[in-house]
Amino acid sequence: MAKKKQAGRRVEGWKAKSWYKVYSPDTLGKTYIGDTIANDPGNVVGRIMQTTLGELINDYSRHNVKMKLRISDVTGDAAYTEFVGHELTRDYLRSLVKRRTSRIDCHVPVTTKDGKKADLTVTCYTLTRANLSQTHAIRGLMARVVGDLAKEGDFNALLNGIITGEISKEVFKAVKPLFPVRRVEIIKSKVGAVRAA
Amino acid sequence: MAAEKEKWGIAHIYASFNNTIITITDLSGAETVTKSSGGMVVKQDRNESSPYAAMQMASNVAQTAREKGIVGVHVKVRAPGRGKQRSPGPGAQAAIRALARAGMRIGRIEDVTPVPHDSIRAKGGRRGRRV
Repeated sequence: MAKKKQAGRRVEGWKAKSWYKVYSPDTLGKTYIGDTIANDPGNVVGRIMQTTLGELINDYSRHNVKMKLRISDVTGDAAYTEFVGHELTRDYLRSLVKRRTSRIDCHVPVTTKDGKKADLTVTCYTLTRANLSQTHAIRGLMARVVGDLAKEGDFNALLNGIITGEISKEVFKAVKPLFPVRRVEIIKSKVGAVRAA
Repeated sequence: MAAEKEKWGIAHIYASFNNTIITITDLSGAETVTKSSGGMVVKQDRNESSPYAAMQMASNVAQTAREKGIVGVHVKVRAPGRGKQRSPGPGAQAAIRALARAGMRIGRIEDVTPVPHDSIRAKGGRRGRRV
């Protein structure tokens, strides 16, 4: 009995709500990414939509990148988003890890030319196991290269660098003379850093 | 993505060894469409996590979701995680399959178990669980 009553109430609330179409940011092509439902347009702002990069740019090889987009603006039944971070899927990260090699993580708080702050997590997978001093050297180098690259361009350039893999390519080139590396990935980013730079 | 008329949602499936909870939300995860848990479909507490209960729950949930206009779901499976086991319980597989059988379209399936970078001490004490 109790169950029935609850279900009835919920349907009523549901009918009062309306759907909003969510679009990706201008820099990511302003494509339609899905719907969200709410009582009030004010409730929609601040919600975080998660989608894959593959869906945004129609490239099925990039399904392992999860993009976080926060709704920043609502007009009518359209909601517009801004980029607040990305993350690689866990199964992809797990597939990169191998025995007797090192995985070197590095958190880099960066500031772009136009003053926006972001936290990037850069990871380097080596071909053979690195000892501690080598690990430290690689980590320091990665942090420096990423920091410099971010400083050179504005925020959109940084975003582009992340999604095209341009930044990880640069880091790869920089680390290669130091130690045999297999792969460099930016596994995570957070925009509007909470950590002090 | 599919045509604009077809609305997608996210099916959050939490499968522990003691229960399975299915929640279907919109794509932002902020609005719940429907939800169901083991106690809503079986009588005995020990059956709450069974694959059979998960099937029942999934078909109920799929039906209500379809009534509310959701044609497909992306699946996020999770186990208890943190200090507990990191592999999903027996209900997860059954729930996903039953969702598909009930006519929901299944998009991405992803494991979102919370995994700590360090860990807390496992329960059971220094000498392990003594049965």
